[in-house]
Amino acid sequence: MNLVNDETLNKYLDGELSKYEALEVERIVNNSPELKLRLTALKEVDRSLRNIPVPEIRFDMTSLIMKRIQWNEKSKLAQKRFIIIVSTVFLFMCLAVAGLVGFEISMISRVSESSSVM
Amino acid sequence: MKDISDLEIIESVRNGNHSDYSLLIDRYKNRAFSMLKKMLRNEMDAEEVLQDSFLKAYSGLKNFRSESKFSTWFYRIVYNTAITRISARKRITENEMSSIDDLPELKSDYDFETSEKKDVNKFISDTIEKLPPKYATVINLFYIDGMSCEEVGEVMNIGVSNVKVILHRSRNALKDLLISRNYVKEIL
Repeated sequence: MNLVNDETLNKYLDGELSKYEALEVERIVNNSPELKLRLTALKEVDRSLRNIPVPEIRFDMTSLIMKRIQWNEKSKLAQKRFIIIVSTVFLFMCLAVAGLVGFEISMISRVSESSSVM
Repeated sequence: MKDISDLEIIESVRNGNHSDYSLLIDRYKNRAFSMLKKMLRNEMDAEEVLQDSFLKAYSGLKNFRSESKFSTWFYRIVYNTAITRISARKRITENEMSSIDDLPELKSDYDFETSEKKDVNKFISDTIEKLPPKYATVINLFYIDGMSCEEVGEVMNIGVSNVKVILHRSRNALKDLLISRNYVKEIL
């Protein structure tokens, strides 16, 4: 390994180099103050990134989301009920209209039958 | 409660125990908020997008396949919801977001020289807030959520090699900043 660049140092840090390559990097780095500086800085960045604090949400978001879910579920249920009621009313109306039409037809046929007998 | 796996919670929610979903919210809200804060750079937007993401995830639970991890699936929802928000704001277009060459020169307001304790953690934490959204997301998912490069790629819908390029560039940029501030010379 003749060239140790930032890419190699990153791979070294992530343990992506073979044992031989890693040893070679260590040897080269130990003989170069500039590379040593870069590797130390990279290690420091990696260590700091592992310690980044996780921010906390300032209010009770869990309850808020659960309330929104409940509200959504309720409105879905209400929507379902509304659809069922509307379709039931529509069905009854259709049946009533069909019954009325059937009654009218039978009346007309009876009238025509009696007029033909006369 | 910490011992219950995500899949067990999901199964319970699917079986009608809707309130168990709060366990998943408690488990992921802060880490997802951290990612959104870095992506959107606005706390209120981050909170809104997070709520929307949890609602989307809840209604999509029936489509969730247990072969994949809930965290990866959920973070994909969070990431896509944030991207939609960013695109809507017209601050950054999707094209800009998909470029991996958009890492600007990083600067930090944190002053090593004047601060009593040279706090490198604070310095790094402040500086990653200034990274482009894509870079900040990779850093967050890799370091805070402990995801592998493969999982990060799955969340962001990019290849593993791209994830590594972004990760290395971000670290290099931060490293160069530390060197330029003479921080490392002091600890050597």
